[in-house]
Amino acid sequence: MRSDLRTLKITPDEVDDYAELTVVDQSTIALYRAIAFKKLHHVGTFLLVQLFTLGIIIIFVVPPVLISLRKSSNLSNETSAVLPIVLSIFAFSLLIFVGWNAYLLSQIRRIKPTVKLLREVERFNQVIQSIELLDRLESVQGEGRSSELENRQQVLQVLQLTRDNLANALRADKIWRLHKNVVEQRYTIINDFEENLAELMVFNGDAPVGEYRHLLNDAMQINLSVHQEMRKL
Amino acid sequence: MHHFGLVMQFLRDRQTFLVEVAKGVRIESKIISFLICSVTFLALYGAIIGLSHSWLQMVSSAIKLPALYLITLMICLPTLYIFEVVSGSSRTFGQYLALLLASTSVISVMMIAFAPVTLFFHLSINDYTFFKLLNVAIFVITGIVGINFFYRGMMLVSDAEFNRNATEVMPVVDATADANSTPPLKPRGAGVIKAWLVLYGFVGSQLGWTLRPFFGTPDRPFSLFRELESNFYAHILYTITHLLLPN
Repeated sequence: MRSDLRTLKITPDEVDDYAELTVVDQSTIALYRAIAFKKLHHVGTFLLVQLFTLGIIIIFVVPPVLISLRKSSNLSNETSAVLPIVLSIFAFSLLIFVGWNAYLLSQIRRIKPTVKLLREVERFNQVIQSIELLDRLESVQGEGRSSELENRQQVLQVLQLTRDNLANALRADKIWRLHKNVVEQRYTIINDFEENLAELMVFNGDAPVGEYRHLLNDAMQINLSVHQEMRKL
Repeated sequence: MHHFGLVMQFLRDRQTFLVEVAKGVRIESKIISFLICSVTFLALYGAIIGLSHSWLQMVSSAIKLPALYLITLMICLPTLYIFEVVSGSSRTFGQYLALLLASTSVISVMMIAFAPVTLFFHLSINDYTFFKLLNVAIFVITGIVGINFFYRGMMLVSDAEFNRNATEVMPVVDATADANSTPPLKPRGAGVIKAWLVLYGFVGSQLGWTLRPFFGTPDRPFSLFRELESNFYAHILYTITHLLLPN
């Protein structure tokens, strides 16, 4: 990957920095994605998160409860005597697990805009990958024509602005999630975003041709979706 | 997969990790990644040692081994945090938790590295005492590596904090007193951390003794726990004596 593309890509660490998602947020996102998108990898991630959560609950509940039960009631070590107790402790762990999921379900409404923004980040990274693919194709076919190099530059400029917009949107969303009463900072970010969007519209009027036109449209679509989400915040 | 990638990155470049912890960068995501890594690897190793007895023991040990490390951590962490705060530390509870979980991850990764050796001896030698002592040795070695990492990490983070405080305080001190009368600033001593590590070892070994069996005696049926008798150190001494002097 060329260095200009590498710096454009939004990494998971950068998403962490912009969005500052807590454990609850991340678990709710996994739950919402599994329910809303019904894609195999989202369902897989959700099941893994669920399995891990249940495992952690069991690890923290079962051994301490068993130790205290044994200490207080001279619990017999016979398998037949231990089994019902172990099963009831597992049932208790399951109850905590269900309670945790019910709490996550109540958080879905709060996290919906974040999920949409994260989806746009994925789309943005896909556009970067497409440009990388085009770069490789062009390097196989020989020297790029000057018009194509110009198109590439134009798309990269749009993507840089799109990247700034996505980062701003994630920051605004974070402010909204963490401090619902801090309105002023949020409006400053939205204002910056709209200035970027106006600049992008100029690019769109002078659109390149071929594959780059398609990528430019994708970038514009990402910006419009992000703008829509920010207006809803 | 992202979590395991983060742990591998940390193992390759610990300096960056420690600097990030000192600055409080992405602490929560670090905690999650290390928790996932520790639980997965410790449960896997627990399952391997339990496998030497029965499948029930395997499930039991897969729960007990991560519980041993994580509950020891949860018991001892508040003591460390309070002692450090009293000694003048400005670090958060999350920073201590991230450092400790990173050490637990180091221990769990080391255990997984020993897993083929454990499996080999499990398959090739039918000697319960030897298998038990081999695993105690593995626990000791991995524990020392993990504790060493934690100690060094704490020292580095303390130094970073000290340097930051010193640059904030020294200009004021220089302006108000002459060089001879100003007591030199020193980073907080390692005594608290060393004492806490001894406590951590004691709590861990006692909890391990309380949660046993992890291996399961071959001639006895599966049992979830054993009677609370003697202590960990007396039992290890007895086992070594029994191995060296069978009669």
